[in-house]
Amino acid sequence: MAISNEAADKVGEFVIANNITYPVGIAKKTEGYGSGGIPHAYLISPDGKIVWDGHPASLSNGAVEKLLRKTKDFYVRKVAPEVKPAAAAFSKGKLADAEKLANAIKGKEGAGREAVADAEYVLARVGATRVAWNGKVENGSKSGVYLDVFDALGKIQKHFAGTEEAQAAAKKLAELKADPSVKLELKASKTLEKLVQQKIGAGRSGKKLDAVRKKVEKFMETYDGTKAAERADLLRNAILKARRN
Amino acid sequence: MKRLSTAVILIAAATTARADWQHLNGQEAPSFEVEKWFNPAEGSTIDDLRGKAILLEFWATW
Repeated sequence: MAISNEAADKVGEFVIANNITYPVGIAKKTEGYGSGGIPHAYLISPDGKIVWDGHPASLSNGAVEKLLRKTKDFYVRKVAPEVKPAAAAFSKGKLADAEKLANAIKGKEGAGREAVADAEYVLARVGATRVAWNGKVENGSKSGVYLDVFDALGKIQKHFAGTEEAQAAAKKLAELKADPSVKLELKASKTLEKLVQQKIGAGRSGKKLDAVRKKVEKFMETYDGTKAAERADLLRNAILKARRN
Repeated sequence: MKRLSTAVILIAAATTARADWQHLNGQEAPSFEVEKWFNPAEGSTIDDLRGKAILLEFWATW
């Protein structure tokens, strides 16, 4: 995901023109981190603690793994014996079961303080996962990236199987898949993806860039009114900018 | 579910380089609100990503 305090259009053009697929966002108020030379990175462990900061080039894959192992392991945390079935269900991806079991412990009279705290931990993990998937559905729908929406809905359906939540996700998934505008959006996204590759392949060649720009403009006409056409406009601007430089 | 998934957060920080980066090892990662996403992200604040390893990068297009 990404965040920027540069102008949104500028970042958007950069993201599409360079085929950046991880999330990139805009945030203006990040003073908790201070400010200084760019780039500068922070590695944050799953329990929300900062474990490293420095120049991203000095961070290797091995270092990431080592640093995370050093932190409290969020996934194999030792839990009170009565919470073990809930934790096991969670680690198997049976989130609805984990939630049910953890709620039962929490609501049980005479449950130990440790067991309640551990049950709450399991509930928090299930909750965070739910928020993440729903966020993906929401953001993907907003930006017209339906492959992400399908992926997240599929996960909700699978990991909350047997609940109303899963049924709602299945229903929404079926509706979206049958929706002609979603089909159009998916087709447009696929085509746009190819145009992005062509823009990258064109390098600095003015002739090639012009050819891709014409294709992008045609694409925008063909898919007028889609979210993909909005993204194509960013690509078009990026090509014009590349052409001027 | 067991695998740590890594989210890369790029921050295009165009602010002039004054002061310095905070070295916050061992501390809670400061939260901040994200105004707009370009690729769909999971949630709108850093808190929504609890349970994931995050590489948060302050970055710029220039």
